[in-house]
Amino acid sequence: MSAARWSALGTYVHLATGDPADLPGARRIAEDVLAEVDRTCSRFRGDSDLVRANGRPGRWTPVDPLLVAAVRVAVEAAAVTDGLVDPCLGRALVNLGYDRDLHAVHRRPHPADRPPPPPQTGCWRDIGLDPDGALRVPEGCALDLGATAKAWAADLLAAEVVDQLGLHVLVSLGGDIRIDGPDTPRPGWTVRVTESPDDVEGEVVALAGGGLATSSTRARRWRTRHGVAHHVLDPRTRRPTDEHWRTVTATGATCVAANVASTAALVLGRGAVPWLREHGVTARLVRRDGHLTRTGGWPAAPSTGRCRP
Amino acid sequence: MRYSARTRDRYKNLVALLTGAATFGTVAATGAVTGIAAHDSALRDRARAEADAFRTASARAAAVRARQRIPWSPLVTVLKNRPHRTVVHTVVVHRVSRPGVASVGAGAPVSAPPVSAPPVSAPAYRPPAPVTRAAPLPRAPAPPPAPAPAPSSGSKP
Repeated sequence: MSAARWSALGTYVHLATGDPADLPGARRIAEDVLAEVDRTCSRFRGDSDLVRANGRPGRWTPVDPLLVAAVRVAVEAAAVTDGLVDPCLGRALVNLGYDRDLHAVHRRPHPADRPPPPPQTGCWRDIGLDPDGALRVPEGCALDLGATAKAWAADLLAAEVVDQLGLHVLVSLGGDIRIDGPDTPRPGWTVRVTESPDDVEGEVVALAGGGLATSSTRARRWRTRHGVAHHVLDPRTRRPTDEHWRTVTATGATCVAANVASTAALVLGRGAVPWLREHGVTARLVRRDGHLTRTGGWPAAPSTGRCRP
Repeated sequence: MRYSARTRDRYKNLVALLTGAATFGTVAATGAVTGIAAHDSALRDRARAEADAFRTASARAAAVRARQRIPWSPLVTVLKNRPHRTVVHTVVVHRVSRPGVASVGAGAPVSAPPVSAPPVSAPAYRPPAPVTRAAPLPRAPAPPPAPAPAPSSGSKP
């Protein structure tokens, strides 16, 4: 097995194939797909389709059908979680100061947050989608696909590699992992689950296929006038979650499904474990104090039940 | 007063002089009036052109001010035609976006990674090797190192 690593979509990309000879071709496809997703779905590119649609709330905007597909997945994520994973949090994030690439946010000399917008739940139901290439953002809303687009891009990238090259592939986009391949014996993939890419510790598990995603409030943090904020917002309050759990890793049939489960668990806080069990999700949760909880078939760690505080 | 050839000529010259003077006066007056009218017309045309230019400049400045007054966003929306074609195959986009892809549930089994076997086993009993001077057997190549696990962490940029 061989792997390549580079940066895209504002995070790291890890791409692995079973045979080293397949890696250059798979990487070429991956770079094309990620460039296309960035061009259509980025909230930080002035020329992206998402920014154009967000600039015309309440009106239909012609967009690339790829963005329509990404928003359709985000709307489904909101539907299956009853709004816990909400794509209509763009304005709340902007008001918190997360209105540009995080590197640029960190370079600001002073915090740029403003009071949050008035609560507006359920506006994801009013998103208009035309599969031929048009999108209507509800009045008073701005879309942010941060909760699903990266995971969806991992699913898309892996499917495209399988479709074009017919080989087994593993892709990790900032921790959102998808394993895909033809219906032949699969190579044994291993995954190191950590809270930050810089962590040398963590838990290594084996995964045969499907999706696995880690969401953490320890990453993507920035200063505001009222303290440090993180990027996982509770749609009910439009504020960052209370960090009962600081990191959740979940599995799913697809990477989107895994990421929806991990994000919903962070939002639910104390209610996450019953919700995950009710939905049959295999997950690993790290509480604020480092205590570990596992659901479903997550293997027990041989050494410890705690993470670093 | 006697009428003679001399006085006749004098009158004739006088009439010719008066007629010439009257003609010159008429022509001069006509020219002056025409000139004054043309000057007035030119002044009016110039004033009209200046007024038109001022109105145009005012309208342009008002449009610029109106654009600058958009309070909620620095973005200026520009409509443009997008290509309805992507580098990703449409069938793949449909496959990864079909209903149900976001449904949470059990994924593939997660397990503890297999423990790698030691590269060389050490049996409990080894028969004594014959004492010969034969050349040593070539060693089997070392197995390739296990690949590094794929990272799954919070998406720090």
